[in-house]
Amino acid sequence: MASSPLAPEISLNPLPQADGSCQYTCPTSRTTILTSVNGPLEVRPKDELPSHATIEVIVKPGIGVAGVRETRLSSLIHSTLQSLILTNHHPRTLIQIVAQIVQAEDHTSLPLLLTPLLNCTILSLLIAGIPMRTVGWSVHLAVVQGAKGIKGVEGQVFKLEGGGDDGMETEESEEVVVRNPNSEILSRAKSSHTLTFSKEGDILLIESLECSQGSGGESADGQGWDISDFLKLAEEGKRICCEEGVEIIREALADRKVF
Amino acid sequence: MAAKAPDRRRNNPPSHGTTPPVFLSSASSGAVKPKQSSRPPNEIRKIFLRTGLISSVTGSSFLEIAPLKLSISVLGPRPLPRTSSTPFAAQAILTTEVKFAPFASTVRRGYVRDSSERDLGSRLYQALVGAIRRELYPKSRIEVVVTILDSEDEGDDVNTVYMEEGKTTVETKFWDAGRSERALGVVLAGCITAASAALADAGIEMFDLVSGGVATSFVDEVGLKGKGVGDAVSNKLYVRDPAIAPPEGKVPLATCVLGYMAARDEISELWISGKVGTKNGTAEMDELVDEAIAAARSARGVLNEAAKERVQFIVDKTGTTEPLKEESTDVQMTG
Amino acid sequence: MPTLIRQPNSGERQPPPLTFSTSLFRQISPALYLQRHLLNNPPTRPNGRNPSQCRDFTLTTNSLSHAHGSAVVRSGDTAVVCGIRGEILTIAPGDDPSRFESYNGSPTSAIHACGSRGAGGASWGGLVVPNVELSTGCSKKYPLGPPGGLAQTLSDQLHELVNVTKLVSLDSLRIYDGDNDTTSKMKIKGYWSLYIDVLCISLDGNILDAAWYAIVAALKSSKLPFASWNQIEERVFCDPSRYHPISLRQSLPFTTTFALVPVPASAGGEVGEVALLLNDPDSYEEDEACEILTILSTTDLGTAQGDFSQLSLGKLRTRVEKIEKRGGWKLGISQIEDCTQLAASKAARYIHTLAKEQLTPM
Repeated sequence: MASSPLAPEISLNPLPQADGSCQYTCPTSRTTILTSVNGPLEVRPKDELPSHATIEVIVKPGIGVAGVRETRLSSLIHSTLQSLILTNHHPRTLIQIVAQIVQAEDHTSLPLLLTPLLNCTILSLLIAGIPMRTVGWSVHLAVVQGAKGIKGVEGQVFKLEGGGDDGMETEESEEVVVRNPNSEILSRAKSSHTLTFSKEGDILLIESLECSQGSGGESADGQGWDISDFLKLAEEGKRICCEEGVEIIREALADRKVF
Repeated sequence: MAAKAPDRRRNNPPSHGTTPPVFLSSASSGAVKPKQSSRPPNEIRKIFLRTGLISSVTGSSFLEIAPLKLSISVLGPRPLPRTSSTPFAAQAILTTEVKFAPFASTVRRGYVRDSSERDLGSRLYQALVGAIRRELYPKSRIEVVVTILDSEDEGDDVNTVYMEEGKTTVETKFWDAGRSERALGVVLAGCITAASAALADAGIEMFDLVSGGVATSFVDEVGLKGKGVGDAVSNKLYVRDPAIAPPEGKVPLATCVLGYMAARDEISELWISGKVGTKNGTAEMDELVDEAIAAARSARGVLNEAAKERVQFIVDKTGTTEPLKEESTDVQMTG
Repeated sequence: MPTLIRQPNSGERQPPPLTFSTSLFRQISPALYLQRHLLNNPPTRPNGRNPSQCRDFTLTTNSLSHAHGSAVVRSGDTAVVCGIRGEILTIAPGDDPSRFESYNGSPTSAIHACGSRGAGGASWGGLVVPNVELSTGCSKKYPLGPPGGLAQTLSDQLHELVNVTKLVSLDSLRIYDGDNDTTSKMKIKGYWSLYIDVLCISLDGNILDAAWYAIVAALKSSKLPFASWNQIEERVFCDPSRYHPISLRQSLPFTTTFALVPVPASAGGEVGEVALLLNDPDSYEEDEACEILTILSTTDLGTAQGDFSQLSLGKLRTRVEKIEKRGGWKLGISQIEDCTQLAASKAARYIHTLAKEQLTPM
C-alpha cells in the first residue's frame, strides 16, 4: 500500500486580524491557498435568513479578475460547508470566507485547486471557532496509465487492489493511482477524482472527471471508467481522508486545543 | 474584432476574436431571391399564440408568426425591492425588457442589450403602460420580459460578397432603405400582442387588451424614379404585416407600427418611419395608420381566441373558474 | 394522503385545531410536505412520480432559421432552447494552431500563447463556447440582469462537460486553404468557433440535464457551410449552397441528475434519517434537497439498439465519465451504483428520442 506521503505545509493564523486564517501548500503541485474566515458578522438585510447563518464564500483568482470558474469553485465550497457548519447556532448572521489562490501551476484547473481550497477552508474554520457538525478532509487522486518516468511522486503512487487482471498486464500499461498529482501528472492522467469525506467516513463531495487529452470526436469513444473501479477508488479515498487526513488536522491544531 | 477584456460572467471565445461567416456568391447564378409571399396585401400572416406555458411565473405567452418566435413572461405584481431608490410608488412600476437571443438574427447578437433592443423595450413600455390599471397595484412592480428566439431580418444578404467578372463586390443586390424598420416593426407588433396576452394570463387588470399592427406603403419602382412622388399616391400599395422582401417591382415608402386597443378605439403607441407625403394633406398618413389599425384588429381576433382558450382550459381542469386546488382534504394542526 | 394531525386531548378546553388547505401546507412547510409524501408506501413524490422516475421530455430540432443548429428540449416544466452559431477564427501567420485541437491541453502552452491574462480568472477560451442564459424571466426566483451565481456555475459546468466528453471532433472544425490538399497542417487557415447558447425559457428544476441534452441534440443537428480560404481576397469565404455536419463522437454521453432528500426512517425502533434519491428533481424538490448528484455516462445499447421496449437494464454497458456530488453527507457509496443503472435507462430514452428526430442512425 501507499507509504507515508508528504504532508501538506500548513501555517495557521497568518492573518492576525481575521477570526481564523490558514495558508496551505500542496506537497507536490505547490498550489498555495490562503483563506480567512470572519464570523459571525452582521448580515446584509437582503441575505438574512431567519433561523440560519448566511455563509458567503469568495474565491479570488491568483491572476486577473474572477471568472465563471471561480464562481463555480465558491459554489462547490459553499454547498460543502452548508452541510458542515451548524448554521442554526448563529441565526441572522454572516460567516464570510475568503479564499485567495496564491500560487498554482494551472490557475484554471478545477481538480488541482479544489482539494487545497477545501482543506484550507476547513482548517481556518476550525481556527475561527465556527461550530461545525464534523470535520472533513479532501484528497485528490489521479488514475495514470504507466507511472514509469514520472518524477517527484515518490510515495504517492499506489495500485488498486484487484484492479484489472494483474497477470495479463505489463508494467507499462498498468493503471496506477497517484495522490496529489501535479499538473504534469494530471496532463497524463486518464481521470481525476477529488473526494471529500467527513471524519466519520460520509461522502461530502465528489468531483470525478475523465481528463485525458485528445482532439475529441470518435477518438473519445470508449473513454471513462467502470463504476466498480470508481467504488474501489472511493474506498481508498475514504481511508486516506479518515485516517491520514484527520491525523493531519489533529497535528496541525495540536497545540491549539481546538480539536 | 476581439473584445477588450473577457466577460467575467460567461465562457469566452478564443482571444483571436471571431468573425461571422461571409458567403461568396457568383453574380451569374445570382443570390437566391427572397421568397415572395403569396398572401394578399390586406391579410396578415397566421399567428400562433399560446399562453400559460411557463408554470413558475405569473403569466406567460409564446407567439409565432412565420419565422418570428418570441416568449414573454410577466413577473409580478410583486413588492418593490427593499433597497429601492423609490421607497413608495402610488402606482405599479412597469418595466419592459426586450432581448434577442444571440442566435435570433443573421449576425450574432451580444449578451448585453444593444440600442435597438432598448428602443424596442421603451416602445413596448409605451404601448402597454396606458392599458394597465396601475393604480390597483400600489407599491409593486410588474416586469415584462421578452425573449426573441428567432426573427426575420435582413437575411444573408448582409454578409454575402458577390463575384462579378472575377472581381468581388460587396454591394448587396436586394437592399432597400426601409428594411430594418419593417423587420423591427413586425417584431414590435408581435411583442405588443404577445405581451398583453401574457399580462392577461397573469390576471393583471387592464382597461383593454392591446394588439400590435404594422403596415407599409409601397410605390412602383419606376414611379419613384421617373415621375414625381406626388403622382405616386394613386398607385400606392399598402401591405399589412409586411414580409422582409418587398413585393415585385415595388419600393417601400413608409412603415407604421402601433399598439391599438380595439374596444376603446385608442392608439397607445404610434411609430411611423419613412417618407409620408404632406402634399395631400394628412390623407397619406391617415391611410397608413388605418391600414396598421386594420392589421391590429386582425391580431386582436387571435388575442381574444388565446384568452378564451386559456379560460376554457382552466375551467375544464378544475370544473370551476376558481383557482386550481390539488387536493381537497385540509390539513389540521393543533397544539 | 399527507396529513399532519396530532390527536387533540379529550379535554374540551383544547382550542380548535388549526386547519390548512393542502396547497397552503405545501407553501408553509415544504420540507414536511415532501417528507409526508415520500413516507407513503410506495413512496410518491408531490408531482405524482415515484422516486426513480424521470419526467417525460420532448425534443424538437432545427426549428430556428438563423442558427446553424438548434434544439428545444422540454422536460416537465423545464424548457430550454439551444442555438448554435459558428463563427470563423482566422489564424494569423505564425500562430500555432495546435492548442485549439486538444481538449485538456497542458496549461503551460496555453499561457505561452494567450499571455498572462489567459492563465486565470476570466480568460479567453477554446473553440467550443457554451453559455447559459437564465435572465429570461424563466422563474420568479431568478433575478433579471447579468448572469448570477447559478448561471455562471452552469456555464462552467457545461464547459467542463464539453471538455470531459470531448464531444466535438476539433479536427473537423479546421478551415483549409481553398485549393490544396487537406493533409498538411501548414494549410490550416482558420477554425470554426462554435457559440453554443442555451436559453432557459421555463425553469422548474434540473436545468443541467435539459441543457446538456439540448446541446448534444443541437450539435447533432448542426450544419455548417463549407468554408475555405480565398487566396485572392485573403479571407475565408463560405459556400452558400454546400453544408456539412459537425463530426461528433459515436457514443453520446448524457447526464442524469438526482436530488437526495432526507426522510425519517424508523426501522428497528431506531429513529434516524435516510436519504431518498429522487431522479430528475423539479425545483420544489431541489429547494428541499440536501445533496445533488450528477452522473455523466455513455451507454452501449448493444444489440438492443432500435428496439426500445426490449431493453433490459442489466445488459447495458455503462461507462462513467464524470461524477459530481455536492452538499450533504447522506449518500452511500452503494447508492451511486444504483444511480448508474438509472442513468443507463435514461440514456436509452435519450438516444431513442434522438433517433425519433432522425439524428442518430440506428
